[in-house]
Amino acid sequence: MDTDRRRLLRWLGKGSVFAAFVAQIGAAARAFFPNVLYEPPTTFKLKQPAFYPQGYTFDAEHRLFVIRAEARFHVISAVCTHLGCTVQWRGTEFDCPCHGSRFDANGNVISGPAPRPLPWFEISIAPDGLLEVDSASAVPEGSSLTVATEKT
Amino acid sequence: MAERRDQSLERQDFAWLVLMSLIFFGLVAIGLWREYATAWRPWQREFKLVLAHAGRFQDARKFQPGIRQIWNPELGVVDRCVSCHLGYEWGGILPAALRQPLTPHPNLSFMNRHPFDRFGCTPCHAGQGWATNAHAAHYGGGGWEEPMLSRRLAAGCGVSEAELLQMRCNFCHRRDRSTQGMDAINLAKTLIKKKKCLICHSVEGQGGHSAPDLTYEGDKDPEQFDFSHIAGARTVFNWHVEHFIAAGKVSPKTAMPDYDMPPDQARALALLMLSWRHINYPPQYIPQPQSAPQTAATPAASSNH
Repeated sequence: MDTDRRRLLRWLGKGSVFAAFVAQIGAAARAFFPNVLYEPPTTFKLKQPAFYPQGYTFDAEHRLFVIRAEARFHVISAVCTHLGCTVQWRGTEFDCPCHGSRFDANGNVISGPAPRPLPWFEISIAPDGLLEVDSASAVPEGSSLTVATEKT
Repeated sequence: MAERRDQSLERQDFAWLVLMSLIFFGLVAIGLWREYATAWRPWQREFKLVLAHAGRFQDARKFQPGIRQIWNPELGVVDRCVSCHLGYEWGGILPAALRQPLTPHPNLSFMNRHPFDRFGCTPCHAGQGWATNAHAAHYGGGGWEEPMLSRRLAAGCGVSEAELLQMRCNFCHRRDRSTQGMDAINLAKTLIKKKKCLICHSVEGQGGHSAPDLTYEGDKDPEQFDFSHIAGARTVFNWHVEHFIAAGKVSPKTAMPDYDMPPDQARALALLMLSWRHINYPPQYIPQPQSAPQTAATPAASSNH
Protein backbone atom coordinates (compact mmCIF):
# COMPACT_ATOMS: atom_id res chain seq x y z
CA MET A 1 0.00 0.00 0.00
CA ASP A 2 2.75 2.37 1.05
CA THR A 3 4.93 1.49 -1.96
CA ASP A 4 1.94 1.85 -4.27
CA ARG A 5 1.23 5.30 -2.96
CA ARG A 6 4.87 6.24 -3.21
CA ARG A 7 5.00 5.05 -6.80
CA LEU A 8 1.86 7.04 -7.66
CA LEU A 9 3.31 10.15 -6.02
CA ARG A 10 6.58 9.77 -7.84
CA TRP A 11 4.75 9.25 -11.13
CA LEU A 12 2.56 12.27 -10.43
CA GLY A 13 5.57 14.35 -9.47
CA LYS A 14 7.67 13.45 -12.49
CA GLY A 15 4.64 13.68 -14.76
CA SER A 16 3.72 17.18 -13.61
CA VAL A 17 7.32 18.36 -13.82
CA PHE A 18 7.44 17.06 -17.37
CA ALA A 19 4.03 18.54 -18.26
CA ALA A 20 4.98 21.90 -16.79
CA PHE A 21 8.22 21.82 -18.77
CA VAL A 22 6.37 21.05 -22.01
CA ALA A 23 3.83 23.78 -21.29
CA GLN A 24 6.64 26.25 -20.65
CA ILE A 25 8.24 25.44 -24.00
CA GLY A 26 4.84 25.64 -25.66
CA ALA A 27 4.21 29.09 -24.17
CA ALA A 28 7.63 30.30 -25.28
CA ALA A 29 7.04 28.95 -28.80
CA ARG A 30 3.61 30.63 -28.92
CA ALA A 31 5.29 34.00 -28.45
CA PHE A 32 6.72 33.66 -31.95
CA PHE A 33 3.20 33.71 -33.41
CA PRO A 34 1.51 36.93 -32.27
CA ASN A 35 -2.23 37.33 -32.77
CA VAL A 36 -1.83 40.62 -34.60
CA LEU A 37 1.04 42.83 -35.71
CA TYR A 38 1.42 46.55 -36.22
CA GLU A 39 1.93 46.26 -39.95
CA PRO A 40 -0.09 46.69 -43.12
CA PRO A 41 -2.53 43.85 -43.69
CA THR A 42 -1.55 41.32 -46.33
CA THR A 43 -5.12 41.43 -47.64
CA PHE A 44 -6.06 44.81 -49.05
CA LYS A 45 -8.54 46.37 -51.41
CA LEU A 46 -7.94 47.89 -54.82
CA LYS A 47 -10.57 49.72 -56.87
CA GLN A 48 -13.81 48.65 -58.54
CA PRO A 49 -13.16 46.12 -61.34
CA ALA A 50 -14.72 48.63 -63.79
CA PHE A 51 -11.93 51.11 -62.95
CA TYR A 52 -9.29 48.99 -64.67
CA PRO A 53 -8.88 49.28 -68.45
CA GLN A 54 -7.93 46.31 -70.61
CA GLY A 55 -4.28 45.35 -70.27
CA TYR A 56 -1.76 46.15 -67.56
CA THR A 57 -2.46 48.75 -64.84
CA PHE A 58 0.22 49.60 -62.29
CA ASP A 59 -0.84 50.19 -58.66
CA ALA A 60 1.93 52.28 -57.11
CA GLU A 61 0.58 52.10 -53.56
CA HIS A 62 0.69 48.31 -53.38
CA ARG A 63 3.39 47.77 -56.04
CA LEU A 64 1.55 45.36 -58.26
CA PHE A 65 0.00 45.11 -61.71
CA VAL A 66 -3.68 44.48 -62.26
CA ILE A 67 -4.05 42.74 -65.58
CA ARG A 68 -7.38 42.63 -67.28
CA ALA A 69 -8.38 40.60 -70.32
CA GLU A 70 -12.09 41.14 -71.07
CA ALA A 71 -13.79 40.21 -67.79
CA ARG A 72 -10.87 38.16 -66.45
CA PHE A 73 -8.51 39.67 -63.91
CA HIS A 74 -5.22 38.63 -62.40
CA VAL A 75 -2.64 40.38 -60.28
CA ILE A 76 1.16 40.10 -60.63
CA SER A 77 3.59 41.51 -58.08
CA ALA A 78 5.74 44.41 -59.26
CA VAL A 79 8.49 43.65 -56.74
CA CYS A 80 11.55 42.19 -58.43
CA THR A 81 12.47 38.82 -56.93
CA HIS A 82 16.14 39.79 -57.01
CA LEU A 83 16.51 42.75 -54.63
CA GLY A 84 13.03 44.19 -54.45
CA CYS A 85 13.06 47.08 -56.94
CA THR A 86 9.80 47.95 -58.69
CA VAL A 87 9.66 46.46 -62.17
CA GLN A 88 8.23 48.39 -65.11
CA TRP A 89 5.87 47.19 -67.80
CA ARG A 90 7.38 47.73 -71.26
CA GLY A 91 4.42 46.62 -73.39
CA THR A 92 5.63 43.04 -73.85
CA GLU A 93 7.76 42.36 -70.77
CA PHE A 94 8.59 43.57 -67.27
CA ASP A 95 12.00 45.22 -66.86
CA CYS A 96 13.74 45.84 -63.58
CA PRO A 97 15.61 49.18 -63.64
CA CYS A 98 18.11 48.18 -60.94
CA HIS A 99 19.97 45.15 -62.24
CA GLY A 100 18.32 44.53 -65.59
CA SER A 101 16.21 41.49 -64.80
CA ARG A 102 13.60 40.84 -67.49
CA PHE A 103 10.34 38.98 -67.06
CA ASP A 104 7.83 37.95 -69.71
CA ALA A 105 4.16 38.99 -69.69
CA ASN A 106 3.35 36.22 -67.20
CA GLY A 107 6.19 37.17 -64.87
CA ASN A 108 8.59 34.36 -65.83
CA VAL A 109 12.28 35.25 -65.83
CA ILE A 110 13.70 35.85 -69.32
CA SER A 111 17.14 36.99 -68.22
CA GLY A 112 19.03 38.77 -65.49
CA PRO A 113 19.82 38.02 -61.89
CA ALA A 114 16.22 37.46 -60.68
CA PRO A 115 16.03 33.93 -59.23
CA ARG A 116 12.27 33.41 -59.37
CA PRO A 117 9.30 34.52 -61.48
CA LEU A 118 7.11 37.40 -60.25
CA PRO A 119 4.38 35.87 -58.05
CA TRP A 120 0.67 35.96 -58.93
CA PHE A 121 -1.55 36.95 -56.02
CA GLU A 122 -4.95 35.58 -55.12
CA ILE A 123 -7.75 38.03 -55.87
CA SER A 124 -11.41 38.12 -54.99
CA ILE A 125 -14.31 40.55 -54.85
CA ALA A 126 -14.82 42.14 -51.42
CA PRO A 127 -18.36 42.51 -50.02
CA ASP A 128 -18.40 46.16 -51.11
CA GLY A 129 -17.59 45.22 -54.72
CA LEU A 130 -13.92 46.24 -54.75
CA LEU A 131 -11.12 43.96 -55.95
CA GLU A 132 -9.37 42.40 -52.98
CA VAL A 133 -5.81 41.06 -53.11
CA ASP A 134 -4.25 38.60 -50.71
CA SER A 135 -0.52 39.21 -51.12
CA ALA A 136 0.26 36.44 -48.63
CA SER A 137 -1.08 33.72 -50.86
CA ALA A 138 0.44 33.22 -54.28
CA VAL A 139 -1.60 31.42 -56.91
CA PRO A 140 -0.22 29.39 -59.83
CA GLU A 141 0.44 31.21 -63.10
CA GLY A 142 -2.63 31.35 -65.29
CA SER A 143 -5.18 31.64 -62.46
CA SER A 144 -7.67 34.42 -62.97
CA LEU A 145 -10.87 35.83 -61.57
CA THR A 146 -13.80 36.33 -63.90
CA VAL A 147 -16.05 39.20 -62.93
CA ALA A 148 -19.37 38.24 -64.45
CA THR A 149 -21.71 41.10 -63.64
CA GLU A 150 -19.34 43.68 -65.01
CA LYS A 151 -20.36 46.51 -67.34
CA THR A 152 -17.76 48.63 -69.08
CA MET B 1 21.10 8.60 11.76
CA ALA B 2 22.23 11.51 9.58
CA GLU B 3 21.49 9.50 6.51
CA ARG B 4 17.90 9.00 7.57
CA ARG B 5 17.38 12.74 8.14
CA ASP B 6 18.72 13.40 4.64
CA GLN B 7 16.24 10.92 3.24
CA SER B 8 13.28 12.52 4.98
CA LEU B 9 14.39 15.97 3.78
CA GLU B 10 14.61 14.60 0.29
CA ARG B 11 11.09 13.24 0.54
CA GLN B 12 9.87 16.59 1.83
CA ASP B 13 11.52 18.44 -1.07
CA PHE B 14 9.99 16.01 -3.50
CA ALA B 15 6.52 16.66 -2.08
CA TRP B 16 7.06 20.40 -2.50
CA LEU B 17 8.23 19.90 -6.06
CA VAL B 18 5.11 17.91 -6.85
CA LEU B 19 2.91 20.58 -5.29
CA MET B 20 4.59 23.47 -7.09
CA SER B 21 4.54 21.62 -10.40
CA LEU B 22 0.82 20.95 -10.02
CA ILE B 23 0.18 24.61 -9.21
CA PHE B 24 2.26 25.70 -12.20
CA PHE B 25 0.46 23.22 -14.42
CA GLY B 26 -2.86 24.62 -13.20
CA LEU B 27 -1.72 28.15 -14.05
CA VAL B 28 -0.68 27.06 -17.53
CA ALA B 29 -4.11 25.47 -18.00
CA ILE B 30 -5.76 28.75 -16.93
CA GLY B 31 -3.50 30.65 -19.33
CA LEU B 32 -4.45 28.38 -22.21
CA TRP B 33 -8.14 28.73 -21.35
CA ARG B 34 -7.90 32.52 -21.25
CA GLU B 35 -6.11 32.47 -24.60
CA TYR B 36 -8.97 30.51 -26.09
CA ALA B 37 -12.04 31.88 -24.26
CA THR B 38 -11.92 35.38 -25.76
CA ALA B 39 -14.86 37.77 -26.06
CA TRP B 40 -14.71 37.85 -29.84
CA ARG B 41 -14.62 34.12 -30.55
CA PRO B 42 -18.37 33.41 -30.06
CA TRP B 43 -19.26 36.36 -32.34
CA GLN B 44 -16.92 35.11 -35.04
CA ARG B 45 -18.50 31.68 -34.80
CA GLU B 46 -21.92 33.25 -35.15
CA PHE B 47 -20.83 35.45 -38.06
CA LYS B 48 -19.67 32.40 -39.96
CA LEU B 49 -23.16 30.94 -39.57
CA VAL B 50 -24.71 34.26 -40.63
CA LEU B 51 -22.60 34.25 -43.80
CA ALA B 52 -23.61 30.69 -44.60
CA HIS B 53 -27.23 31.57 -43.88
CA ALA B 54 -27.04 34.45 -46.37
CA GLY B 55 -25.79 32.04 -49.03
CA ARG B 56 -22.16 33.25 -48.94
CA PHE B 57 -20.75 29.75 -48.50
CA GLN B 58 -17.35 30.53 -49.99
CA ASP B 59 -16.89 33.53 -47.68
CA ALA B 60 -18.00 31.43 -44.71
CA ARG B 61 -15.48 28.76 -45.63
CA LYS B 62 -12.71 31.33 -46.05
CA PHE B 63 -13.47 32.99 -42.71
CA GLN B 64 -10.57 32.43 -40.31
CA PRO B 65 -11.05 33.10 -36.59
CA GLY B 66 -8.68 35.58 -35.00
CA ILE B 67 -8.26 39.18 -33.92
CA ARG B 68 -8.96 41.55 -36.81
CA GLN B 69 -7.82 45.13 -36.95
CA ILE B 70 -7.73 48.23 -39.10
CA TRP B 71 -4.25 49.68 -38.86
CA ASN B 72 -3.31 53.16 -40.02
CA PRO B 73 -0.24 54.74 -38.42
CA GLU B 74 -1.02 58.09 -40.09
CA LEU B 75 -4.03 58.54 -37.82
CA GLY B 76 -2.72 56.40 -34.96
CA VAL B 77 -5.49 53.92 -35.65
CA VAL B 78 -5.27 50.35 -34.34
CA ASP B 79 -8.94 49.47 -34.38
CA ARG B 80 -9.75 45.96 -33.32
CA CYS B 81 -13.45 46.84 -33.14
CA VAL B 82 -13.89 44.74 -36.30
CA SER B 83 -12.99 41.58 -34.37
CA CYS B 84 -16.60 41.60 -33.11
CA HIS B 85 -18.27 44.17 -35.42
CA LEU B 86 -17.76 41.73 -38.25
CA GLY B 87 -20.59 42.79 -40.56
CA TYR B 88 -19.39 46.39 -40.85
CA GLU B 89 -18.66 46.30 -44.59
CA TRP B 90 -21.38 43.82 -45.52
CA GLY B 91 -24.16 46.39 -45.98
CA GLY B 92 -26.44 45.43 -48.87
CA ILE B 93 -25.61 41.75 -48.54
CA LEU B 94 -26.36 41.00 -44.90
CA PRO B 95 -29.64 42.30 -43.45
CA ALA B 96 -29.43 45.70 -41.72
CA ALA B 97 -31.56 44.26 -38.92
CA LEU B 98 -28.77 41.87 -37.90
CA ARG B 99 -28.14 42.24 -34.19
CA GLN B 100 -25.13 44.06 -32.80
CA PRO B 101 -22.19 43.62 -32.92
CA LEU B 102 -22.65 41.96 -36.33
CA THR B 103 -24.81 44.74 -37.80
CA PRO B 104 -23.54 46.21 -41.09
CA HIS B 105 -22.44 49.85 -40.89
CA PRO B 106 -25.18 52.12 -42.26
CA ASN B 107 -24.32 53.14 -45.81
CA LEU B 108 -24.20 56.88 -45.21
CA SER B 109 -23.70 59.26 -48.11
CA PHE B 110 -20.16 60.22 -47.04
CA MET B 111 -18.90 56.68 -46.42
CA ASN B 112 -17.28 56.31 -49.86
CA ARG B 113 -15.13 59.35 -49.08
CA HIS B 114 -14.19 57.91 -45.66
CA PRO B 115 -13.30 54.28 -46.47
CA PHE B 116 -13.01 51.94 -43.52
CA ASP B 117 -9.51 50.71 -44.36
CA ARG B 118 -8.19 54.27 -44.30
CA PHE B 119 -10.17 55.87 -41.47
CA GLY B 120 -10.92 52.93 -39.19
CA CYS B 121 -13.55 53.32 -36.48
CA THR B 122 -12.23 55.42 -33.60
CA PRO B 123 -11.53 58.68 -35.51
CA CYS B 124 -15.33 59.10 -35.74
CA HIS B 125 -16.72 56.97 -32.92
CA ALA B 126 -13.90 57.37 -30.35
CA GLY B 127 -13.37 54.58 -27.81
CA GLN B 128 -10.35 52.42 -27.24
CA GLY B 129 -9.51 50.72 -30.53
CA TRP B 130 -6.78 48.49 -29.08
CA ALA B 131 -9.16 46.71 -26.72
CA THR B 132 -10.34 43.22 -27.51
CA ASN B 133 -13.39 43.12 -25.27
CA ALA B 134 -16.51 45.24 -25.43
CA HIS B 135 -16.28 46.90 -22.02
CA ALA B 136 -12.68 48.08 -22.43
CA ALA B 137 -13.36 49.18 -26.01
CA HIS B 138 -16.54 51.12 -25.27
CA TYR B 139 -15.93 52.52 -21.80
CA GLY B 140 -12.22 52.03 -21.18
CA GLY B 141 -12.57 52.25 -17.42
CA GLY B 142 -13.06 55.18 -15.07
CA GLY B 143 -11.60 58.51 -16.11
CA TRP B 144 -11.00 57.35 -19.66
CA GLU B 145 -10.65 60.50 -21.75
CA GLU B 146 -12.07 59.21 -25.01
CA PRO B 147 -15.14 57.14 -24.24
CA MET B 148 -17.01 55.81 -27.24
CA LEU B 149 -19.65 58.28 -28.43
CA SER B 150 -22.54 55.97 -27.67
CA ARG B 151 -26.27 56.55 -27.83
CA ARG B 152 -26.32 56.54 -24.04
CA LEU B 153 -23.63 59.21 -23.79
CA ALA B 154 -25.50 61.29 -26.37
CA ALA B 155 -28.79 60.94 -24.46
CA GLY B 156 -26.99 62.18 -21.34
CA CYS B 157 -25.97 65.30 -23.27
CA GLY B 158 -29.46 65.83 -24.71
CA VAL B 159 -28.36 65.28 -28.31
CA SER B 160 -28.70 62.40 -30.75
CA GLU B 161 -25.82 60.00 -31.40
CA ALA B 162 -25.39 61.42 -34.91
CA GLU B 163 -25.13 64.96 -33.52
CA LEU B 164 -22.56 63.90 -30.96
CA LEU B 165 -20.48 62.27 -33.72
CA GLN B 166 -20.45 65.56 -35.64
CA MET B 167 -18.19 66.89 -32.93
CA ARG B 168 -15.48 64.51 -34.15
CA CYS B 169 -16.25 65.18 -37.85
CA ASN B 170 -15.34 68.77 -37.10
CA PHE B 171 -11.81 67.77 -35.99
CA CYS B 172 -10.95 67.71 -39.69
CA HIS B 173 -13.83 69.81 -41.07
CA ARG B 174 -13.34 72.75 -38.71
CA ARG B 175 -12.45 75.16 -41.52
CA ASP B 176 -15.48 74.21 -43.65
CA ARG B 177 -18.12 76.93 -43.71
CA SER B 178 -20.77 74.28 -43.68
CA THR B 179 -20.50 70.56 -44.23
CA GLN B 180 -23.18 68.27 -45.60
CA GLY B 181 -24.63 66.08 -42.86
CA MET B 182 -23.21 68.18 -40.00
CA ASP B 183 -26.33 70.16 -39.19
CA ALA B 184 -25.61 70.78 -35.50
CA ILE B 185 -22.07 72.00 -36.17
CA ASN B 186 -23.26 74.06 -39.16
CA LEU B 187 -25.85 75.72 -36.91
CA ALA B 188 -23.15 76.48 -34.34
CA LYS B 189 -20.87 77.95 -37.01
CA THR B 190 -23.61 80.34 -38.17
CA LEU B 191 -24.33 81.27 -34.54
CA ILE B 192 -20.66 82.16 -33.99
CA LYS B 193 -21.01 84.69 -36.81
CA LYS B 194 -24.50 85.85 -35.85
CA LYS B 195 -23.66 86.43 -32.18
CA LYS B 196 -20.36 88.09 -33.19
CA CYS B 197 -18.32 85.97 -30.75
CA LEU B 198 -15.06 87.06 -32.38
CA ILE B 199 -15.49 90.66 -31.22
CA CYS B 200 -14.21 89.52 -27.81
CA HIS B 201 -12.89 85.96 -28.34
CA SER B 202 -10.13 84.96 -30.70
CA VAL B 203 -9.95 81.74 -32.72
CA GLU B 204 -6.87 80.77 -34.72
CA GLY B 205 -5.42 84.26 -34.44
CA GLN B 206 -8.56 86.09 -35.51
CA GLY B 207 -10.87 88.12 -33.28
CA GLY B 208 -10.64 90.19 -30.14
CA HIS B 209 -8.42 89.75 -27.13
CA SER B 210 -10.71 90.78 -24.29
CA ALA B 211 -11.97 87.20 -23.76
CA PRO B 212 -10.25 83.79 -23.67
CA ASP B 213 -8.80 82.32 -26.86
CA LEU B 214 -11.05 79.48 -28.04
CA THR B 215 -8.75 77.87 -30.64
CA TYR B 216 -8.18 74.72 -28.57
CA GLU B 217 -11.15 75.05 -26.21
CA GLY B 218 -11.93 71.33 -26.63
CA ASP B 219 -8.57 70.34 -25.12
CA LYS B 220 -9.38 71.83 -21.72
CA ASP B 221 -9.66 69.30 -18.91
CA PRO B 222 -12.62 69.20 -16.51
CA GLU B 223 -10.23 70.50 -13.79
CA GLN B 224 -10.05 73.81 -15.66
CA PHE B 225 -13.77 74.49 -15.24
CA ASP B 226 -15.62 75.83 -12.21
CA PHE B 227 -18.66 73.61 -11.72
CA SER B 228 -19.86 75.28 -8.49
CA HIS B 229 -22.71 77.16 -10.26
CA ILE B 230 -23.74 74.32 -12.58
CA ALA B 231 -27.28 73.10 -11.94
CA GLY B 232 -27.27 69.95 -14.10
CA ALA B 233 -24.65 67.29 -14.83
CA ARG B 234 -21.10 68.31 -13.97
CA THR B 235 -19.65 67.59 -17.37
CA VAL B 236 -17.65 69.91 -19.62
CA PHE B 237 -20.38 69.59 -22.23
CA ASN B 238 -23.07 70.71 -19.80
CA TRP B 239 -20.84 73.49 -18.47
CA HIS B 240 -20.72 74.93 -21.98
CA VAL B 241 -24.49 74.50 -22.48
CA GLU B 242 -25.37 76.31 -19.24
CA HIS B 243 -22.68 78.92 -19.88
CA PHE B 244 -24.09 79.74 -23.33
CA ILE B 245 -27.59 80.14 -21.88
CA ALA B 246 -26.63 82.18 -18.79
CA ALA B 247 -22.93 83.01 -18.65
CA GLY B 248 -23.43 85.36 -15.70
CA LYS B 249 -24.89 82.59 -13.56
CA VAL B 250 -22.13 80.06 -14.34
CA SER B 251 -19.23 82.53 -14.06
CA PRO B 252 -20.49 85.42 -11.89
CA LYS B 253 -17.55 87.71 -12.74
CA THR B 254 -17.74 87.24 -16.51
CA ALA B 255 -18.23 90.05 -19.00
CA MET B 256 -20.02 87.66 -21.38
CA PRO B 257 -23.72 88.53 -21.76
CA ASP B 258 -26.50 86.03 -21.00
CA TYR B 259 -27.56 84.94 -24.47
CA ASP B 260 -30.63 83.12 -23.15
CA MET B 261 -30.60 81.00 -26.31
CA PRO B 262 -32.77 77.92 -26.96
CA PRO B 263 -31.13 74.75 -25.51
CA ASP B 264 -30.62 73.16 -28.94
CA GLN B 265 -28.53 76.15 -30.03
CA ALA B 266 -26.53 76.04 -26.79
CA ARG B 267 -25.91 72.30 -27.28
CA ALA B 268 -24.80 72.85 -30.89
CA LEU B 269 -22.33 75.50 -29.72
CA ALA B 270 -21.10 73.20 -26.93
CA LEU B 271 -20.41 70.51 -29.56
CA LEU B 272 -18.47 73.05 -31.59
CA MET B 273 -16.43 74.09 -28.53
CA LEU B 274 -15.50 70.46 -27.78
CA SER B 275 -14.54 69.91 -31.42
CA TRP B 276 -11.92 72.66 -31.36
CA ARG B 277 -8.98 70.52 -30.42
CA HIS B 278 -5.36 70.26 -31.34
CA ILE B 279 -5.18 67.27 -33.67
CA ASN B 280 -2.17 66.09 -35.61
CA TYR B 281 -3.67 64.30 -38.55
CA PRO B 282 -1.61 64.52 -41.76
CA PRO B 283 -2.71 67.30 -44.15
CA GLN B 284 -4.17 64.93 -46.75
CA TYR B 285 -6.92 64.09 -44.25
CA ILE B 286 -7.91 67.72 -43.76
CA PRO B 287 -10.36 68.96 -46.39
CA GLN B 288 -9.39 72.05 -48.34
CA PRO B 289 -11.14 75.09 -46.93
CA GLN B 290 -14.10 76.05 -49.08
CA SER B 291 -13.10 79.20 -50.85
CA ALA B 292 -16.19 79.95 -52.91
CA PRO B 293 -15.82 83.75 -53.15
CA GLN B 294 -12.10 83.49 -53.87
CA THR B 295 -12.45 81.01 -56.75
CA ALA B 296 -15.13 83.27 -58.23
CA ALA B 297 -12.73 86.21 -58.00
CA THR B 298 -9.66 84.42 -59.41
CA PRO B 299 -10.63 84.39 -63.13
CA ALA B 300 -11.50 88.09 -62.94
CA ALA B 301 -8.16 88.84 -61.26
CA SER B 302 -6.20 86.85 -63.87
CA SER B 303 -8.02 88.58 -66.75
CA ASN B 304 -6.63 91.91 -65.55
CA HIS B 305 -3.13 90.81 -66.44
